Amino acid sequence: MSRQFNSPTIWQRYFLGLVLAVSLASCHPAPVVVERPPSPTAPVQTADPQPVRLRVISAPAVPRLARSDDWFEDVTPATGVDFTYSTGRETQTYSMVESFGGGVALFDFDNDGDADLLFTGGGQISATLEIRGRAPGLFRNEGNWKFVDVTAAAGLSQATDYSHGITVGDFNGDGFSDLYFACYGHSHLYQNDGAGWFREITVEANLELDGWRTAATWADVDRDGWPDLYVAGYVEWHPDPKQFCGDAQQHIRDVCMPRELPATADRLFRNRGDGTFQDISAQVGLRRDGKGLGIVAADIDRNGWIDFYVANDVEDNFLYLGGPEGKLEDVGANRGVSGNEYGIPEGSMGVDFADVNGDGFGDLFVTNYEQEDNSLYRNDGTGNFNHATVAIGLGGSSRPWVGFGTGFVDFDSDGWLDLFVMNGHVTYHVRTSAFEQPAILYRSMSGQRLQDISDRGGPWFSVPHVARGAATGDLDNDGAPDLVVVQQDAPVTILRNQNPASNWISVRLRGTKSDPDAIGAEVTLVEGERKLVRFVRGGGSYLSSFDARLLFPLTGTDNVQVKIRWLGGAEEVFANLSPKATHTLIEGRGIAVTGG
Amino acid sequence: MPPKRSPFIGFLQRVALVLTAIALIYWGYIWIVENPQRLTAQGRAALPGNPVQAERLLGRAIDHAGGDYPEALVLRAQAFQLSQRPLEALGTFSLIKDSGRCSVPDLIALADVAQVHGNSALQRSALLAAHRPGPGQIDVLHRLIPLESALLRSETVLTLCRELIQLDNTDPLPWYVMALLFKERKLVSEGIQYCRESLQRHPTPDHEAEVRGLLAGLLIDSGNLAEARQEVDAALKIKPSAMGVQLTNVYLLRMEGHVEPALELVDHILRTHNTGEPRALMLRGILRLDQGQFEPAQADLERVVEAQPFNKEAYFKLGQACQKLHQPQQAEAHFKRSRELTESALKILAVEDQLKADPKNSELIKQLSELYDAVGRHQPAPATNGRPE
Repeated sequence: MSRQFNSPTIWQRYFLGLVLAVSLASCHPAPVVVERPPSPTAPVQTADPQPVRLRVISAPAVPRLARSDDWFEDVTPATGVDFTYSTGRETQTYSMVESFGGGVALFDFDNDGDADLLFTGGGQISATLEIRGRAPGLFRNEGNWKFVDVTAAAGLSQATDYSHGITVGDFNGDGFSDLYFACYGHSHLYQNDGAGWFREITVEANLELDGWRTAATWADVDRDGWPDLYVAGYVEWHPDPKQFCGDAQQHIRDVCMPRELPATADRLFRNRGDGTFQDISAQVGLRRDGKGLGIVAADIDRNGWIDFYVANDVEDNFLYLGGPEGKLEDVGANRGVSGNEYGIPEGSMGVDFADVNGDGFGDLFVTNYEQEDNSLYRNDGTGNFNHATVAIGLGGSSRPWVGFGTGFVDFDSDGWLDLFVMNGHVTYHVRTSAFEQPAILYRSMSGQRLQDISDRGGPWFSVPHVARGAATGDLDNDGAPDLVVVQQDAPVTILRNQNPASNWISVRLRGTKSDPDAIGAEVTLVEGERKLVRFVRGGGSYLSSFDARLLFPLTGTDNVQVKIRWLGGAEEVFANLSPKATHTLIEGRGIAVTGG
Repeated sequence: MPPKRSPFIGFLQRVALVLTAIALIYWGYIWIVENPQRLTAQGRAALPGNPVQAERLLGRAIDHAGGDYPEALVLRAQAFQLSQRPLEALGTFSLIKDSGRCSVPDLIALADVAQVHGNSALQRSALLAAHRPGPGQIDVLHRLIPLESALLRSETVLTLCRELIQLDNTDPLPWYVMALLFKERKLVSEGIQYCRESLQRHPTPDHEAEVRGLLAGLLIDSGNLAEARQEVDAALKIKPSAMGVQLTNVYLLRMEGHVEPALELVDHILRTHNTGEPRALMLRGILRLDQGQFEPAQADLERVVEAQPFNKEAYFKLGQACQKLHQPQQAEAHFKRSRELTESALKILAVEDQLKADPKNSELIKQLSELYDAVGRHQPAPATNGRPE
């Protein structure tokens, strides 16, 4: 039986409100709250008539059983990797620094041909708000899914400052990968001596940098062959026992949010090539605002110079385009990559750059805060980007979650890049979604749509986590990329890809004119009529570094060529590459196609 | 023999008698004809058909009652309002010293008349006077809640909704209103819950369509497109002509990847309703951008910014359309305008946050007021004599 109302005008009036609300939801879902806030003279109160704390999440606490068609198997316990990123939250100081988590690097530190693992350690926070760092964890890949903790043996057992991000690069061109830890406090550079030992050289390299640093990446901005260092800054925050954040009315304390805090400016350091660095942030024109959490470096506009895409929290994302004049100009807003579909900044965290739709142009992807869509910006080939989140089927799918680590990776070896997104909330007493959140796995449907196949991800994907950094790489050299995930105060997870790669090749680039890691190069696999484009990018995901090797699935044709467009534009072709192997392609040793 | 009366005395006696009679007649007239209660009754009776006469009668009643006659004042305010004299109506109402002596039905009637004539100040004053413990409060709340909502006094609205739920827990309205408020606050899960509470209380079919439309929007916000689709379909089944729901359907179709059907539908909506509705034009502009129809998209979006000069999203999309049409200067101008509006909106959020900690900071209030002006937003009414606040 229907309920009648005394005055139909009431509903008519509310219908107008509904139309307004629906239109706002329809036209710009994220900023609805901007349009009609509560009275400025009255603090927001959210008490319910029947107080109910809703949780969007309803995922079971116990992982489901493994199935034969699962894409991933959690092999962590058998690998010997036992490491936990420590946030320091146990002292319940609600320090902002504990929300952001850590990263992982997949890199071959001993040049033995397989990917080793390095995790940043985070830190501890005392009850008196003293913030200390915790040592990272370095695990050497012994093959056959066995890893050995070599942190101490490698000289890394001494704690850095409170660490977040890690970036890997051969900054001195000696053939061995070096490490840069982005930290709260002081950030640190460690040089790999090639004999399995890392030595801190921050001071002698003139890289002393304080403040809250999150992500970083190497890339050769001035094309002198030496990788320069871009370090993202977050906000100016200092522990303050008097500071109360959260719900003052209900006396619920929580970590502070960044909106009102001033930004810590990003910094760019030029590698002089003599083991020292020079701060050129002002010289190249870096902005002093932005609250950076994610960064990826590549030749995004294909002009032969390194560009950076920086994901900022609650502020515009930056797209710095490089050029011969030595300036980095932020064109993010006008190129359509600074915010959501309507140009409004979001809470951005993780990033990636990849050719998602197979048109040869690199697209940008960024993960965002809850009630915001993760954003895919499709490169239209003219230097502009179209917000393609809805078009590719990602509309709405990330809104319940707070997204962090991410990457476009061909997990099923079909030639199309699939997508993973790691989620987990940053505030403890949240109302709109849970603290622990599920990771999402999308399968690419020929580059046109992304289909959520998290239910096929495996048992690990069936339960929520508080995930942060994540990176992929081929840990068992079987041609199928595996996945490693860092969580908040929980053991790291190693997920073995169970999709077989029947035939494949793997390439690693070595620059000679370009920087040693060849960041900014574009690699095209040509197999008959089929072309697959991949990019050697710096940074990516969230606070993490991907395996530098690029994997290509093969369909079986013998005539396989790899065309490389090095940073600067010189092109070379490498042919006669044997399948099921990793090839190191050295700049200048292929067949030159054009001059750069 | 009795003494002979003087003829003069007799004259005086007759005069006195006449005067007494006149006085009696006068007081009788006053008592019977000019009686304030009687006049009030006459004025009340005359109100619907002859408000001018009613106003005179009620004025006489007030005069004869010495000015302080709340019942007549309420009715006279109504009479003034019906006579298209809103200021006098408001002024008359303000003469009431103790509104507690006014009857709730009279106050509700006054509020209804004021609403019909668009005198929201009088409407609100009458309803606030009627809002007191006792009978008739459900009717009062049904009127006060939308009014306070229109004034953006969201905290007051929440309090009133809770009060209405206490009085009548079978009423779907307060749950629906709270769902709207929580949607605006981006508290999606609460909004969804309140929509469902409203639906459980059996609204009329038309109203059910509205609630389901709102629920669909909230489900889209939460990323649950499958359930949003169910709600949109259900709402359209109940009320196919509901434009708000139709527009939600357009948006949802786009989210589901059905761009062409979405474009056809919004075209149909614009043709059927024969309107330049900015929300529909905005959606069509976006869909046309999706489809690479840049010139028509530009035309749609230009109409949107013309109608809504503070619509930052529309400026941004228009900038994109210009960019695609190789009009870099126009594109830059639209992007710039969008950025300015966005920056102001973000500053508003920051200042509002600061105001939560320091609500009486006059500098912040002034700053917020200027920012509201910059984005063309109505300012919430100040908290005055509203009991709930």
